Amino acid sequence: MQESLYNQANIIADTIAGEIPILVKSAQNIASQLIGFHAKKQAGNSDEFFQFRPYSNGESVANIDWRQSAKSDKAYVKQKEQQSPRRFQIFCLQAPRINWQYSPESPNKRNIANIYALSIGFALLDIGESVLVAGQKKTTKSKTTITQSLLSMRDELPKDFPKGVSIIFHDGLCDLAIFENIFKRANSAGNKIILGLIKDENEAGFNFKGRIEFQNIDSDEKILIENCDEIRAQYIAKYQEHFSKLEELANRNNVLIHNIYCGQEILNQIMPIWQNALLLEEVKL
Amino acid sequence: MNLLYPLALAALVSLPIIFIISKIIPPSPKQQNLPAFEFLRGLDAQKSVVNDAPFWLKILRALGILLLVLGLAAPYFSTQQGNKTQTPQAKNYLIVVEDGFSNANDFNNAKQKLANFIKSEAAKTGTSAQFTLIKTSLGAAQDFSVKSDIALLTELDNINPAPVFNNYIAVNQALTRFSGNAIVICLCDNSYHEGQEEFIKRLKDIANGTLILIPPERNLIIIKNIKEDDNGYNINLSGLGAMPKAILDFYDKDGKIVTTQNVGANSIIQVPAFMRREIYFARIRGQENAGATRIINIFNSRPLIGFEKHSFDSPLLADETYIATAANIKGEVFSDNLDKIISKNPSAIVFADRGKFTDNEYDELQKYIQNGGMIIRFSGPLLLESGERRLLPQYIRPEAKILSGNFTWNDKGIGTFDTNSPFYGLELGNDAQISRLAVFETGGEPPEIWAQMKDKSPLVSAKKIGNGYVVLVHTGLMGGWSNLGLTKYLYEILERVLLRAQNIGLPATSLPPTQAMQPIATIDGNGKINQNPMGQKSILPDEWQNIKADINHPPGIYSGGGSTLILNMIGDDFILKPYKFDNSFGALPEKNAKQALLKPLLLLGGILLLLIEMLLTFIIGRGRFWGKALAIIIFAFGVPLSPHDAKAQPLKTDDMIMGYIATPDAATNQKAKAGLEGLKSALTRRTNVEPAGVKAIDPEKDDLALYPVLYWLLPDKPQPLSPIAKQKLNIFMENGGMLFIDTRGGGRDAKTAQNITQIALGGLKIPPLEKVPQEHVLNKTFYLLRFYPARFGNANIWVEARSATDLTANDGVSPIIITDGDFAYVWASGANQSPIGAINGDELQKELAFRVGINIYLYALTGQYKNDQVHIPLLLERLRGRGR
Repeated sequence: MQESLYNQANIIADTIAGEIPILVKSAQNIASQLIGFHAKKQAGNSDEFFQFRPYSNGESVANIDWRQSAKSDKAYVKQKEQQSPRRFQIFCLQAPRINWQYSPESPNKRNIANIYALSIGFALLDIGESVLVAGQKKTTKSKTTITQSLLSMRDELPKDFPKGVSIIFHDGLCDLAIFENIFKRANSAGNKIILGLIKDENEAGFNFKGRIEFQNIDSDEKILIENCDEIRAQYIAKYQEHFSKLEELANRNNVLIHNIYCGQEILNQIMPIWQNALLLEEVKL
Repeated sequence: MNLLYPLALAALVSLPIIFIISKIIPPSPKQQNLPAFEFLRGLDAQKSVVNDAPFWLKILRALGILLLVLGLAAPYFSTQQGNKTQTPQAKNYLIVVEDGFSNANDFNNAKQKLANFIKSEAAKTGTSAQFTLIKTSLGAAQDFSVKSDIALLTELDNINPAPVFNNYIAVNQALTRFSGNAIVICLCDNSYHEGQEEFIKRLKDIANGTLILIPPERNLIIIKNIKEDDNGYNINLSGLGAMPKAILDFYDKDGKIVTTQNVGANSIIQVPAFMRREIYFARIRGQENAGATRIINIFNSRPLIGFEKHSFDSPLLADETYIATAANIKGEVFSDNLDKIISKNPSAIVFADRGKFTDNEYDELQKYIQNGGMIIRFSGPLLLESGERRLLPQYIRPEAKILSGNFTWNDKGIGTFDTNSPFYGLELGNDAQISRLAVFETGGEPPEIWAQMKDKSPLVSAKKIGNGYVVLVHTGLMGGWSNLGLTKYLYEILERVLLRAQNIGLPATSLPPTQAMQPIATIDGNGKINQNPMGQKSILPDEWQNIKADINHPPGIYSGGGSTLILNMIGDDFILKPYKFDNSFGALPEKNAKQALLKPLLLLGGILLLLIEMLLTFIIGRGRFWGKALAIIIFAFGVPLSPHDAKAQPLKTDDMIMGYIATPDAATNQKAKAGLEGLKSALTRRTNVEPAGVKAIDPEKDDLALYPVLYWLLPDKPQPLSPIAKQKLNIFMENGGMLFIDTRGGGRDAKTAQNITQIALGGLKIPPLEKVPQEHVLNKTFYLLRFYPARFGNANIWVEARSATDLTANDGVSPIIITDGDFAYVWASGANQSPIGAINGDELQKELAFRVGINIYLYALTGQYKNDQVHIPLLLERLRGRGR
């Protein structure tokens, strides 16, 4: 079973690989609109060059960059960039069940999740941050690496939580115990979680009619519903109960939840996530 | 109770099936993935609706279907399993059916009325009613057996009007054998038949009470005579009732109407000679009896060919043997002395190589030819040495031209035939070898050359003398002259020459037959012509003089023994008189109301029950209403009708069908079909156009509006279009259709190709044409094209000249595309991998031929779309890329 899911995930990853350029392009567009909300870079003590500034009296002479100073009649000091800690972790669910759309014309839930995750990731790179894609060992500054790492993700949720902020895009449709477990681990590691829940309005409202045999995407299990109208109210109640429990759980564990609806405009929904991510980071700092 | 259609009960087999089906097969559900699948677990949902129909509902459904089936079986009450509660009352019926031609109009209606009456009588009496049937066509040969109602109905069903006169004298004689009384029912027409008074008198004696009469609804009208004169026809009609006025349709031998005329009792109508030549019979519209159909000309006849009798030592070596054999296949050959032959006035007289005619023979022959006769002469040493200068198209030289020899370099092949030649369209293979030819002396009046060699030496020449022809075949059939006698070409040459003969057959009155004459076409009682009569008696020579149509000799055409006879139903001596039935005859009583209502009541009850069942089903189990409704509707209307209406599913009108025009040549049609099939799969594979099928179109009968393009592959021997077909094709082109004509001219010599195209397209409104200019949209509708390879290398394609194109009409699409490429030949190879015909050239050429086809169809479908400015940059880029 595990193997078939693995293969299935691989096949699906291959299938959407062709869509990457489109995803990357829209993510970049969105990212470019997000960075206006972040301050510019700061000078620091990393290895990366930041700028030259005039030497001020009293400073250690050893700080003078002689090569630059020789080009003019003033002395210059070479400043280095401030070193970023590994603060941002990104996760996006790639399980087979999220690869779903209500109708051929409707948006695909996984595509939406990936656009959000990549957008946030690219935006962080654009403001000079490094990004850790969950499951990877090192942070990266490469958009290609982010894209490849995100799309090849196979876990239900992140396993490790370094200090900082974790931005998780998920459908919320798994056992609440799993959520509870990772929320607690994140809390104890000093990691703040922002949970973007990808929801489809038609799925949430059980927009189905007539006699339908429903199939579990993760298994071959089927349930025949003779009349969808009959069970709609019950289904919606169960759906809402699940998500309100999840919200309760999140509240208890200081996790921020953002509902993302597939049918609604991306920018309006991503902006609060972005701002919260930066806020959480600054609060931490 | 009996059933008229007991076989309908077979549908009851479906009853248990309906039970089973409705029990275990619910409509299959829609399949749907759901990420939030977990939330569906443990819901309080209806588990299954299978088996939910209550038993009483099924009973209701079954009852409804039972009533429907019973209704379709058309039950009626019979005497055989009579109702025992009714008083037994034996009734005898004498049914007189006039089944001669005069009662043929409305015969089936009258039969139906009689059948209904018999059924209702059987129902009323409820006991063993006895029926006796008299068919007047049988004359004295009546069997007065007593029949049950069912036996009578079955027999009645099989009676059809015969092309005979009612013979009441004979029937009357037979009627003396009938004893006792009976209720008399007469299915008789209103015309007088010989001996009718005595017959009616006897019927009255037999009848106990009123006699019942079922007359035809229409008055009988017959064609008394049609005489042809120089300007047309002199027509005499005769009818019952008022002075007849009728519409007379004149038909050709294939049953197509040549002309239609309004005529009165005596009319003289003008019909041009060329039309009269095509007319074979006439029929009064709205009259379905043998008297209203009259054969005017002889069709299906074989020309009478005279052949001079000779005696030879070794007949098998003589050219006469070949000629006589060939002539016998193409006509009715008789051999005799020349004077006797001429006296029979045959269609043609054939002479093998023959010496000089005597003066007497010459005079007789000259007279015969002047009056429309034809002599066909073959050449040979006797003719050349005789120095004969008469009865030849022109003087001939005493020595033959030698075509084969060590020192000759003439092209021995036979040349092509001129359109004026009777041989036009005939294909003589290379195996016809001509070695010697008789040639004309120079000078003199040039004869008609019907066939010539490639070096222009005449092969068959002719000269018109008076109304007839002298035809000379310039070669002989004996050794050293030609091998024509050993090939089939001799038959074909004779057949074509005989087409020009005037006297095709002879009226029998002019010449008694020497042997029995076989029917070659007959007219049935309803006036329909059967060109393949079977099992009819022939007319013997001694019967010929006074023959009249009767049960053994139906009207029609008889031929044999050197004579042909038209025997029409109505002879010169026939006089149509009305007969007034007196008031001892009454009309048929009204139908038994209960009886008539039984079938519709059952049907209505069945449908009502099923509707109620549907309604209840809807109320009980809403979800599956439509599935059930559909199933019941299909059963209620589909099952009973299916045996009658089982046809192939027609193609939907919104599907694109690739039509091709069916020509008289089956091989050409096959090629066109195979070609379009190939192109169809290419279109489906490569473009969004997915044709639903390929169909042969008869422009005369089919609705052309359904086809955007009609492909027309011209055969070698095209027939001119009928006026209706021309008109319909013109309308088709005017209203946006495209005619794509493939003349296959690339494989023909220019003149033949031109002739064929002219014959085929005559009468079509062809706009001014031009060769496809390079910037024409046809070159870019789907593929970019610069030339059009087809079967014979690069093909020519002509479209409507741009100067003549009205861009506002039909998006400027040319209503016609003409090509000479034989594209079907190449496309035919596309449908499967093994090509039917290999192309001269490589695979690329074939591929390009497909592209031409694809472009033509997309041009027809998309019009000037690709001429839109928006496509220009891309097209330029592609063209530049190609340039590199």
